[in-house]
Amino acid sequence: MAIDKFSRREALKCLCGGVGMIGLADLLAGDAFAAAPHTIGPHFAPKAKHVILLFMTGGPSQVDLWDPKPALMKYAGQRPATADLRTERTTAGLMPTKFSFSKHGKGGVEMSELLPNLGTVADELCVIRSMFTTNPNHEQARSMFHQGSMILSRPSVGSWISYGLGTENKNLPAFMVLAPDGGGFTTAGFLPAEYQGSSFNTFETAPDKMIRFLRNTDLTTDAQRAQLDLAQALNKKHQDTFGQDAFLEGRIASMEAAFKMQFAAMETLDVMKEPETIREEYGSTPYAQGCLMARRLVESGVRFVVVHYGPGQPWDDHKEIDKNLRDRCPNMDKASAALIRDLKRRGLLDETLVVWGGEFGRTPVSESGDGRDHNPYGFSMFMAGGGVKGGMTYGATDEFGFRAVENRVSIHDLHATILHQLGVDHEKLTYRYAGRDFRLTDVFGNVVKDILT
Amino acid sequence: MIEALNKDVPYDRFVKLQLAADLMPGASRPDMRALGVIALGPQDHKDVRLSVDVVGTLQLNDWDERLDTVSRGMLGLSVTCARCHDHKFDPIRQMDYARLTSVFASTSRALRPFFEIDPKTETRFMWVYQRMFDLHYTANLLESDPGSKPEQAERQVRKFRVELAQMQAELDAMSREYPQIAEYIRTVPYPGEKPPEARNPDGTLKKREATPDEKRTRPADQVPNPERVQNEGGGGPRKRIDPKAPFLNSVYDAGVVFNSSEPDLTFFDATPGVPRDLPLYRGGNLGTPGEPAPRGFPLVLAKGPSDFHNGSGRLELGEKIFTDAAPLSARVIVNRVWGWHFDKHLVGTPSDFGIQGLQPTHPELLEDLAARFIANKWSLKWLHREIMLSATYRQSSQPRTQPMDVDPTNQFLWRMNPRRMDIEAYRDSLLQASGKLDLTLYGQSDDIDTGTRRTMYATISRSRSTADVMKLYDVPAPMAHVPARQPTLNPLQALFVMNSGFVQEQAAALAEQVAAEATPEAKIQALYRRVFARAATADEIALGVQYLNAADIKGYAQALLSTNEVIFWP
Repeated sequence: MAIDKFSRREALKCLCGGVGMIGLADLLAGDAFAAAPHTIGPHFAPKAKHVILLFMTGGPSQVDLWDPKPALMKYAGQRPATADLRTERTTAGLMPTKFSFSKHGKGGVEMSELLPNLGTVADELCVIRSMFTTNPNHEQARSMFHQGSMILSRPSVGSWISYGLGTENKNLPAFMVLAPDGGGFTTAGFLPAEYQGSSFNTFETAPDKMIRFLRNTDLTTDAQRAQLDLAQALNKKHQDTFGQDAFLEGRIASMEAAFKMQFAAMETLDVMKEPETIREEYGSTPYAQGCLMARRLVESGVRFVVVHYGPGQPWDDHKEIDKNLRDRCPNMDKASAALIRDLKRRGLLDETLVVWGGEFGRTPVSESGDGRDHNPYGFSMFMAGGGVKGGMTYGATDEFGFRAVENRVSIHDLHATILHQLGVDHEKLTYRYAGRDFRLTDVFGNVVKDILT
Repeated sequence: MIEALNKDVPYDRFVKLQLAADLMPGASRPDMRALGVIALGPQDHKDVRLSVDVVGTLQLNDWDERLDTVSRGMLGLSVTCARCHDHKFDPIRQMDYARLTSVFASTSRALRPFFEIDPKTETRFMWVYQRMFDLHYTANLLESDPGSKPEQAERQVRKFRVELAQMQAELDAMSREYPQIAEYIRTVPYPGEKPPEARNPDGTLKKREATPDEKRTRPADQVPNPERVQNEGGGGPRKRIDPKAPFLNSVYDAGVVFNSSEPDLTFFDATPGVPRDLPLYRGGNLGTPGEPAPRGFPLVLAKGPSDFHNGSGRLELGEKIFTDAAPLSARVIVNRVWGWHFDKHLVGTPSDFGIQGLQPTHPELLEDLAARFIANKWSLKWLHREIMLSATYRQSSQPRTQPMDVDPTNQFLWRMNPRRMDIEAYRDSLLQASGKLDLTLYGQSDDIDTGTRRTMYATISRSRSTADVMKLYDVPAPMAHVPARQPTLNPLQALFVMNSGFVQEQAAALAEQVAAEATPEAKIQALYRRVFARAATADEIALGVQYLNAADIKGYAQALLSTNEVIFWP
């Protein structure tokens, strides 16, 4: 037959055309999930295989957690010129933190008393104190953080990564978002829809609540197998009648993959399969569930996991910031530290980049008496594992912690660095849309080499 | 839109109504519905407390999206590449971009009456209502959250409330002639407020009762995905119009002027009847305005004068697209329609006919169809007929060895391309087979997780995520123009077919319909007629009978619904 002159892969490309069908080639090769043709990346040997992004929705306060500023005490209530930056709302004078700071680990990373557990893994952390972003509004700043652009329709970081690297696990999507309320930012934007993130509810722990349509409530496994056998027998007859067709072949394969995925996903996603001691180490909040799930997912080969601390935007402390931080930090601190410790124990930390942060920071000046306003000019994040140096701080803000001044790191720099650790050159990860090549980092972004091992 | 397509409104008029129904002589009140296309475009939330540099840029982004939809959608040109500099590949100057953006900067969003109303009153109402909407929103915001300058906030709120009272009096006067206005104000709360019905006589909030929609029972797996209540971007105050209220989300001719005269606040003022010509922003930056950019059409496409003089210029823009640029705009739509029928476009980049786009595979065919499409008064029904009655379209799609050898990608159209149904056709087919498809024409959109209306009536919202099944089957995010869907094939789609309550319900309905048939063979034949519109072969009956020895007819019906033959379109 003439068709035999083509390799299967060539035939698929020819018969179907179009980027959306690339996934089909992998399906037939036995992969359940579509992977991009691996011509995009990696561009060089990766340090990290996975990324876990711990997202503190709302914008946590750097001066209360990571960036001690004694000058705030000296100038309390005053409004020196460098602290007179317009933010979203009207603000008053400088407000010192109520929390004490101390040095942790061999590297002597300074951290707030609100973070005792993260203190114990301080030598894994690289705290970046010089982050800045471009907009003081939650929506735009979040869009910048998760999509590299204030424009709402751009692809998410995870979509770029799945487009660039495909997935390691045949039975799970490459990009997952764990949040108590969906979290958002799963969009593939202008990338093909197959690269969109799958979002799971961390209020739920049962896997079948997390993946839509994962379980068949009607039939036993044997009965379902018999039903599928019938459908596949009919499919084969249909295909014999029609002739060679990549879609028909691919759909037969995807039905088989789905059948297997029902059981694989039930296994991978079920945090209740973890020993009690581990579950206790993380805690029981949705965020803790998310962290534990994230570890199970990267262990199973998922590339990019976002864990949202939600619901809503809890770190948005316009009022009563001290009380709120006292309520919120213990469980965040416990789960985040447990994740790093757990990854380390399993030898996964080296190949997993953990990134912690929010869409912006908060003002050193007060708002409404006891709160802090949004601050895009300077804020803190940390990275751990995945080829990033531990036990260090990088960059600095001005004497009040308002504006990043030394070794400034933009969101584009952050994205470039994340991609770099995954072995991807951010300038080469492009997609042709609307007449030109687009990048996650637009025309910006420098890899922050100083923090890499 | 569905009504317009059914009535075969000429394509040029169809687009012009969407751009400028309010400016077209002879357009009727129902025609005004088309303006929703511009009015409902994505909108960034613009917090009034931000500086003009920040929110002004967000406003530029909104206009950019509208221009992108019009230019790539209708003209196949990536005009928005020229936002910061002249286009790097196509003959579009940054000035062309700026001149087109001025058209949208001269167009304000408004709540437009859907009843006959004196034009002067209508314009005044649209201005007053929007101003009241903004002031209510701002006053409520400052009241609930006065920030760190409470005295200033209080002063501002007091001032706004005085202005609001004056405007309320004006609305009351209008309401004497148009009681619909008073009824709307009474029932639809301003942002940050509760409707009067939500309060007890003592002013406390009533306990809310579930709406009939919320009361509809859903199978367990059809509870709305939590993600769907989450904003995927945007947010902020929105007008949520009761679809039954006689008002439309619409636009009218009024310039949009950035106003930062109130300390710590930024408003967008509308200037009815006065267009707003933006400057060309150097580097696309709001902070570096350059020379003025009067409303007009891109120079490269204009035949003769390119300036717009009539108000915002929306109507002139629409007219230029279908006169000066007709050779391009006709090719763009013909190529799209061809692609929908053949699953493959003649120009493989349907929204980019520029230098960076692909060359047409059949340039003469595209040219001929475009010319005759114009000669046939831009009739889409003519175009569909012309394509579907062609010998090319009516070929079999079965692979044949010899031509496959010569032209494996079917570039020369030696066969019809085998297609797969899109989610709209697929879901409709499943409902049709089970006898549950609701064929009601027109009216409100529907939640397709629970409803049975045709899938094209699915609610698609920019502020809430699209229904799972649509996302699974390649419906793109509704935030920006997408040239064409990118078909994918993955196991999550198969899980929907194997396990979803929706497919199981259709299988159960099918089982019920054939319950009266006496023998398994007769049941099988009846199901084949319903699902495949053909008789079962002896082999297929044998397989069915064998399966039914150990399983029920519902399981059998579901197996049939899950086969390739249902979604494949040979």
